[in-house]
Amino acid sequence: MDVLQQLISGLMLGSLYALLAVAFTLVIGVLNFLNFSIPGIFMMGGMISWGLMSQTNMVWWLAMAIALAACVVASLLVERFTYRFMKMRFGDATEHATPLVSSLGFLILFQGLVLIKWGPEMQYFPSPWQDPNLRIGELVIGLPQLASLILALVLVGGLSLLLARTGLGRAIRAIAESPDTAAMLGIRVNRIVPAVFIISGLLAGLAGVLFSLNYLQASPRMGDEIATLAISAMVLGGLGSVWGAVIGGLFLGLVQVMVIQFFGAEFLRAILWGLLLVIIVVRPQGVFGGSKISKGKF
Amino acid sequence: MTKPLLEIQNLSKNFSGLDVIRDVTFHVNEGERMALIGPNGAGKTTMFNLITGVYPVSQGSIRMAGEDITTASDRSRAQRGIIRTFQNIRLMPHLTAAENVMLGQTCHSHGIWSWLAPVGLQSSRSRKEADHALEVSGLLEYRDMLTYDLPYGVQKRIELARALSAKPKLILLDEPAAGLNPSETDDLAQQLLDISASGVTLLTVEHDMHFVRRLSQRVIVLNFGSLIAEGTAAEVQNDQHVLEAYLGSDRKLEEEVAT
Amino acid sequence: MSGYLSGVLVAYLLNLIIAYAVFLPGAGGILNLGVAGFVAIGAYASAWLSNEMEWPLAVTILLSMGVSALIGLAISFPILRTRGVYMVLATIAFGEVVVGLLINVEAIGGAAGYPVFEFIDLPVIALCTLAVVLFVVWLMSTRFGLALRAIHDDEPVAALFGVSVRGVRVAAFTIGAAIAGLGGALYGHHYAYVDVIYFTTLVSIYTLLYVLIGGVQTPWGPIVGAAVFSLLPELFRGATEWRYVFFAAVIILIMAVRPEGIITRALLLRLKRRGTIAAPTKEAAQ
Ligand SMILES: Nc1ncnc2c1ncn2[C@@H]1O[C@H](COP(=O)(O)OP(=O)(O)OP(=O)(O)O)[C@@H](O)[C@H]1O
Ligand SMILES: [Mg+2]
Repeated sequence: MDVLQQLISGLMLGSLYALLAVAFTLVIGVLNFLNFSIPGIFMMGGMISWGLMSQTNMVWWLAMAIALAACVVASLLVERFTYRFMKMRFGDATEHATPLVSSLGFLILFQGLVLIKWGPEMQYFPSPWQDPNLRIGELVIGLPQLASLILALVLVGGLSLLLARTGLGRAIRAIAESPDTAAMLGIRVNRIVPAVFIISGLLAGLAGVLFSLNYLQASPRMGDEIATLAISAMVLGGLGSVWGAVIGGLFLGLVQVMVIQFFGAEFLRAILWGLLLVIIVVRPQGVFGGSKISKGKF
Repeated sequence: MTKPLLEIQNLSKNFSGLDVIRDVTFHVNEGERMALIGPNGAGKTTMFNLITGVYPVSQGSIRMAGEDITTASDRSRAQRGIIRTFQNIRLMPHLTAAENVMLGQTCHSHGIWSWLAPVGLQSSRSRKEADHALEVSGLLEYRDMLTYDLPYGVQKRIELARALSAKPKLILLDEPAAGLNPSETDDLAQQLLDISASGVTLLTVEHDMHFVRRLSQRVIVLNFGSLIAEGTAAEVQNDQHVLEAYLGSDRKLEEEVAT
Repeated sequence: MSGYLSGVLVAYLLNLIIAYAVFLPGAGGILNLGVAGFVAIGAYASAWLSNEMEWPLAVTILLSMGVSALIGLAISFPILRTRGVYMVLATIAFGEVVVGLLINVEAIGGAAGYPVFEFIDLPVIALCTLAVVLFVVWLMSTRFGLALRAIHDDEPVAALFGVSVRGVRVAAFTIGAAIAGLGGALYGHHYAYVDVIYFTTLVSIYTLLYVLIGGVQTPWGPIVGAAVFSLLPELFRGATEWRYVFFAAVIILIMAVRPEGIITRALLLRLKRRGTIAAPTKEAAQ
């Protein structure tokens, strides 16, 4: 029973990683750009909805909707100053570095603004439900956790449908293949790329809201640790692969819970990152991904 | 008396199933001026890429001055005197003209000291050689400028100067006259004849047949990756296969539209 | 010199040394986001040697640079096989592994940190920084430096002109690791304490950030980049709360206006040309 309980909390935790990993992988897959502002957007999702709920007594769903809207706006702002300036004169090695630096600037900016408004303390996140737990026999399943698992799967399912079936999806995939060719084919790259950032910002913000709901806390640094795990999940799944990120996220959630259970937390970091280093060098297409480097593959 | 310098034996190359070079055999003699022509997409640039080691060959062998270099490293090919220019200019954008030319000398740097001696100083030997090379090509005024804003014709000349500074035995020129105006083309042809006179062997890819006739003693023709003709410029121009290759398809037309 | 001023200066100089550790591979197009790992190796190695062996400090520091360089050399082969985003992730992973391992070694304090008994002060740090700056400036002016910059711009073409691409890249990464080891050794001995929380990925990320802000095209970039990073927040000290927001805004603006960094090759050449053209006209006017 205990193992089953662990398994369930691992999966729930993993679904958060998965959402955030998809946010990362989308931007990497389409634009080949590791967007460091995502942990900041994740944090804003949690902190803004907390702020609205606890300081203005707003109902929870409105607070969360406003927080998500703020995340989308933030993500679009990042797009303005990173991707737009990515069009460098030379396609040399600096190409990857410039947007990386700007997106990091945004991470510092978002964290700085939240710190000014609400200070560095960890905040108690009020739960909208009386007893947020579902009990099946001895199993305890958190409703928010269940919600995040289901939401993650539904959203990612919807996203892959969007990518596969709609005109927007086709345009995004064309840009992922080659922005220049896409532009030549008449796709308005500067119109489509913001859509990628909207989706990615929305997913990151939602992950932040769900994280706060799950753990009943929010803090300006809440994104730092989980972002590294989301990045790991993405690597496991193969960069640019949406379903790979989901499977990678769920898998990592399980592994984390198990490693902590059996080895203790102190070796988690070395084991996890050691594994990732090996994967990146030996199998850069990811463990769950196909055999092709997955830029442009969804 | 005429010794083969570069020997290509039954060379083939395919890119994931697509045969781009098919069983090509030819050689270039020492001191010769030879041209490689063919319609767009015939595989001319790919041939250069195979000779210089950018891609591994699929089949066949390449020999330089009697030695097999089929699997040799890029550096060792450069050291043996195989140097090229590029169809699309490939100068280093963040290096000055002089530094680009100095890069050409790199294949002759041996030993740790030649790597650790400053080359940037005005007084260094490398720098003096580069300045001299630029002066000879009439490029001295661009010496300390980054190359990316320079006029196209100037960039092409810097590329040639960079190739020469590697003291090559064989220069592979990929469409050296493309994009140049008639007087620039004329100067280039004269410069190449001078280079040839100094003992350097030339293998030139070029679409401009005037230029090819003026420059080349012998011409080979590629079509769809196969060698279809060999002879003097006049001979190949009247060759039935060659005429078909250029005219049979509409590619000749396309080419004229493109230029 | 006041304590505050020398404190800021030491922080700047140490940041500058680590900046050069990132700059050197960076000049060849290698993004190293694991530099904190090498700094940690240098710091812990020198701390242990210094505490346990009690050899002369110079020997201790050189040895810890050697350790860092050896590990850099070993890890450079797998890491340099990767490209772009993968290299970013691989180097992050390396830094995390180092820290994750060090925290579990009880002989050097584990998670509790490790005190260092010898003390190194500002003058020695300043001398070491000067040595690093001169070394890198010289290295970048050699054929090795030329080759490194050529690799940054166009690797395949550099190879065709005889640059041993792999050798040059491995050397740049390894020398960078040695410099990071030096930074770590000085760090531990100055602050008398080493703890893995000082060597997180965030440190690597910040270092790469200010190196890129300075620019990787010339060896002068890190001097400016490290200054922006170490000194700018001090200027905003009055507005304690807002300093990080200002700082972030400055970063974003700099990258928007000068995506190749503040100090570029083109800028230096323009200044130089203006200098040589301006000089004679001044004389003529007199
Ligand atoms: N790296 C590659 N991968 C796959 N196909 C390639 C590659 N390089 C060249 N090709 C293909 O090989 C064929 C020959 O190309 P190549 O560039 O050698 O032609 P070319 O004779 O130089 O033409 P042009 O006169 O237009 O320069 C083309 O069909 C091209 O698409
Ligand atoms: Mg060609």
